[in-house]
Amino acid sequence: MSSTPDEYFDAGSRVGEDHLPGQLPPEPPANAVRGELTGYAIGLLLAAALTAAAFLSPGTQAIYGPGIVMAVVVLGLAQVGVHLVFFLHMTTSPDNTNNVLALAFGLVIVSIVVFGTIWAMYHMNHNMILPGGQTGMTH
Amino acid sequence: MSSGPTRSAFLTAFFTLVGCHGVHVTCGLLWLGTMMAQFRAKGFAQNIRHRYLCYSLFWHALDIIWVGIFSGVYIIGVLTQ
Repeated sequence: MSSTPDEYFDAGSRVGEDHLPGQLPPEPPANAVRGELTGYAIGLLLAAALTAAAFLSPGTQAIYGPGIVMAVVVLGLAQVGVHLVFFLHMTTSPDNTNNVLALAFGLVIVSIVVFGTIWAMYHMNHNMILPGGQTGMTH
Repeated sequence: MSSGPTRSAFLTAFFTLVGCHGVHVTCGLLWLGTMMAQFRAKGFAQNIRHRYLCYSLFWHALDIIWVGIFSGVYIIGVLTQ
């Protein structure tokens, strides 16, 4: 059983908004659905454009050759930002502080796992004695 | 020689990554089917919409993983091969 009136329709833009258990959430503004549809449409266009740019970048002459990898990385990070803002509804509002903190915590953990693995495996490789007495340094 | 996951470290990582992503996408599609069935059976009730919102967060988080996979594995893999 829910105490929320059914006519309060939103597709998720108010993720993380705070209200006490049993209390009504704040009433959404007029034209909330229209605004949300606009947001999703903008996000879809940006994501499609960034994906197309990333897939076109290896074949283009418009980017300095050795810089293409960095361009792909930047396009990917930009698309992650688009997803976070338009689809996962991360905002800077006070209601969203917990979500932002959870994202930061997740980034810290993933960074430790990824860079810790690379660091540890590099040293494993460095110290490994191969048959014939060579170390793993000779790739 | 076959190109299975036992051939090289690259192929081990490749098949692990693609397999894990495939499992997540399969779970997401099952979840999507469940949500469609619930909307059909119970209408756009508030609690069903809330479940759909949770599903949407899962799906778009999976989309972020996909951005990392196609950028890092496919595009940069082609560039640096």
